[in-house]
Formats: sequence, C-alpha cells, structure tokens
Amino acid sequence: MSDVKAPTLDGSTRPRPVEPAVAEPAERTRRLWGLLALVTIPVLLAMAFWYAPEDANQGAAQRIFYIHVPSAWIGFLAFAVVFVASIAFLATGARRWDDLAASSAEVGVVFTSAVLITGPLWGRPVWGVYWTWDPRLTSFLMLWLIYLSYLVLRGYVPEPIRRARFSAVLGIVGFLDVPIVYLSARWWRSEHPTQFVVEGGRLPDQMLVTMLVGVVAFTFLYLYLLSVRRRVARLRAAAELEEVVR
Amino acid sequence: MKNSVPYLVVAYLGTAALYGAYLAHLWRAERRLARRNRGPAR
Repeated sequence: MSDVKAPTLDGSTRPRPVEPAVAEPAERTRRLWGLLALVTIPVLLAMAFWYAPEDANQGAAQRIFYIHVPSAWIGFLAFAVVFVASIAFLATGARRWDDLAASSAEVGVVFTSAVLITGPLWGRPVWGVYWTWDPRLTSFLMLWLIYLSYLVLRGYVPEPIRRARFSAVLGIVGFLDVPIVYLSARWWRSEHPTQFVVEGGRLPDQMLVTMLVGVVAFTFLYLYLLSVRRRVARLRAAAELEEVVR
Repeated sequence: MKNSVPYLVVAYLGTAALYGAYLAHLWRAERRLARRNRGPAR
C-alpha cells in the first residue's frame, strides 16, 4: 500500500495510506443482518395478519400499526445514531463518523417516510381524514423535513470539511425534535394514540408481541440498510481518492 | 366505520415498495461503484 498526501476532513496534510476512510463492516455481519431481516419480516407479516386479533373499534386498519410504530421507532434510532456520530465527528474530525451520520440520516428518512405514508392511511378510515395538524403529526413532519434538509444540505455543499461540519451541527440540533415528537402528545392535546405499550394492560398480549416482533424485524432491516449504505459511502470515498491520486 | 381493508393493503404494499426501492437503489450504487473501482462487489 503506497502513502500519498490524501485529502482528509481534518485538514491535515500528513501522508496517509490510500485506503477507505470508513472501516467496512464485515461482509459476514452484513449478510447476517440481511438474513435476519429476511427471516423476521415474513414472521412479522404472518403475525400481523393471522396471529394478532382484529381491533374491535378500528377494524383492519389497526394492523397498520405493526409497521407504522416500528418504522417510527427505528427512524428515531437512526436519528439518534446521527446525533451521536455528529458529536463524535465534531470532537475527532474523523471521516468515518461523518459517513456514519450521513448513512444513518438517509436510512432514517426512508423509515420516517414510511411513517408518513402509513399514518394517513390509518387516519382516513379511523379519523375520517388523511391528515390533521395535530401536535404529534406536525412535529413528526417537521422532524422528517429537518433530516430531508440535512440530506439536501449535503448535496449542495461540495467542500467535504464544510459539508461535514454543517451537517454535523444540523444533525445535533435536528435531534432536539425527537423528544418533542415523543412528548408532544402529552404536552398538548393530541388525537394521536399514546401509551401504546408503556402502560401495559391496555394492549392485548398478542398485539404487543406482534409490535415487538416488528421492532426487532425493522431493527435488522435498519442494520442491513445502514451497512449497505456505509459500503456505498466507502466505495464512493475510494473512487474520489483514486481520482485525487491520479 | 367504512371498510378499511384497502387502506391496510395500500399501507403494507406502499411500505414494501418504499423499502424495496431504496434497497434496489443501494444495490445499484454498490455495483456501479465497485465496477468503477475495478474491485469485486463484496
């Protein structure tokens, strides 16, 4: 492996080996996440349609919650990873943290997009409207817009150090909306269902188990998507380095 | 309450399409970059 003066996000000019800036997750681990997602998602579907009982009030629409709630929780998890990775980047300047934050933000936007698709499809038959400016819905839409703007920002700042710093700040500040989303239904009057799980006893065991299987299945899906997205980031960085070296 | 089965079906199919399309996008980018770097896609 040859040493060259490769561009680094911390601005240092000392020689660095020509190698990917992001440590690639082991191929076996990535395949394991994919396999686990492939196994658990059909289990979730089977449980959502055949194991969990039909809700007496909401009818079939209640089954949307088995993908809606896990998607929301995994979206929060993805943005928490962005938050931590952004702090780590500002503290260390290491590119791997910026790549992790960018990857998790993109995957998080996909999961929260699913929430914004499934929510209105539950709201229409149960509430009678697709959308209402309810505190929970509004704060969640703002969360989605914040991380969408995070991705747009990354696309519009060509210089890597500034891009990483700007997006790290947005990744940290944007995460402040997550507790607001979570607590919005308690702080303000909201039509959105709350205490779905935490105040046990209100949700039949079969529904609760199905919901938790959904969280597990979507966690595996998140880990798989994140690992593939990080590999894409690593390959892109390697291609950029190769062009600089030439 | 009106029949909510169509909403249920659209919600599940829409979510599957979203996750599937994103995964396909990532796989395409991975293959393209791996080819560009002249390395095997791992």
